[in-house]
Amino acid sequence: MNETQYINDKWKYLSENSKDLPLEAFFGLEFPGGNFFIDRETNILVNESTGVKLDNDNLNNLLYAHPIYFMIITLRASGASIQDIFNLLNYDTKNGPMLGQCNMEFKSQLKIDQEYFVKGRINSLISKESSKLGRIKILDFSLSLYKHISQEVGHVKYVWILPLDKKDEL
Amino acid sequence: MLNMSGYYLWIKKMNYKEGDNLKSWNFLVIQENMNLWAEILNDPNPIHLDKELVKSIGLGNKTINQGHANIAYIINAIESNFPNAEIVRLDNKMTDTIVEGDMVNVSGYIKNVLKQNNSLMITCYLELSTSPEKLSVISEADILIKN
Repeated sequence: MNETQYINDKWKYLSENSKDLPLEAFFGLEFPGGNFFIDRETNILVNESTGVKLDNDNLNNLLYAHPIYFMIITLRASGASIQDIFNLLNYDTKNGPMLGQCNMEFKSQLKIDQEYFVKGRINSLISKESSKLGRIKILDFSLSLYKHISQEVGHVKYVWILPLDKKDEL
Repeated sequence: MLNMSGYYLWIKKMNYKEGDNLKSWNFLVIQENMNLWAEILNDPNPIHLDKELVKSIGLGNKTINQGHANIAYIINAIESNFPNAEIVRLDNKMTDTIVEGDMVNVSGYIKNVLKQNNSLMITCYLELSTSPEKLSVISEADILIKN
């Protein structure tokens, strides 16, 4: 069995059994991984939808992607969509999950018309009481971005806040 | 060798100092862009798309902007203040939501300036807010400015 198949099978097993497993069962779980191509048109949409009108006279705008692509790519190409992550934890998105923290390290600028690869893992999943939200779970995971399999170009650490109510069965 | 305009630009860069306020940056959050970001992120979370759902779970009366877009505003404010610089590190803590119709403001100041040969490493503190009472993201960034 190759490594990708092993990781996919582990995700499937955990997704199907999450409500019977301790939170520690998710620690260290690797993401299946994947790849993402930055196209010029989407980069323009990303810029314009966040208030930046690209100046085509600026050569950098034709070469480099918006740095927010570090977040976009790590989430889109982790091999698990945001919904897959919530499915893994048997978490109902109607409870309103929220991004709590995001720490990013940039080792080089991302280029347009370039493919990137992503690998990562879940660091921890804990349960606690929040004075504002009541019972919550906190999911901590890290994803790294590669230009080639050995050349890391960035790293993003995410903390998601998962409010719980009766819809949640974890 | 620097020409005169390059020389004056470099002198300006070298004059960054601790405590300097950053030029503030503003943007109006609209539903159309939240719909676009749901597609870009492949994120079906209904709190970004369905205000009735937001009401039903007690998170207010308006759809909630994606945290990723909020961080993009912080990045845009950095790039507006330091054109052609490279962001090396950006730590973000979300402290409140941004919702549809909010006019967001990014402000901040220089915490530290480190001169390294022909480059500067500038550490900035930044805040994304909609009013003095509502602070939504707190960030700290390291920005590399090369000659």
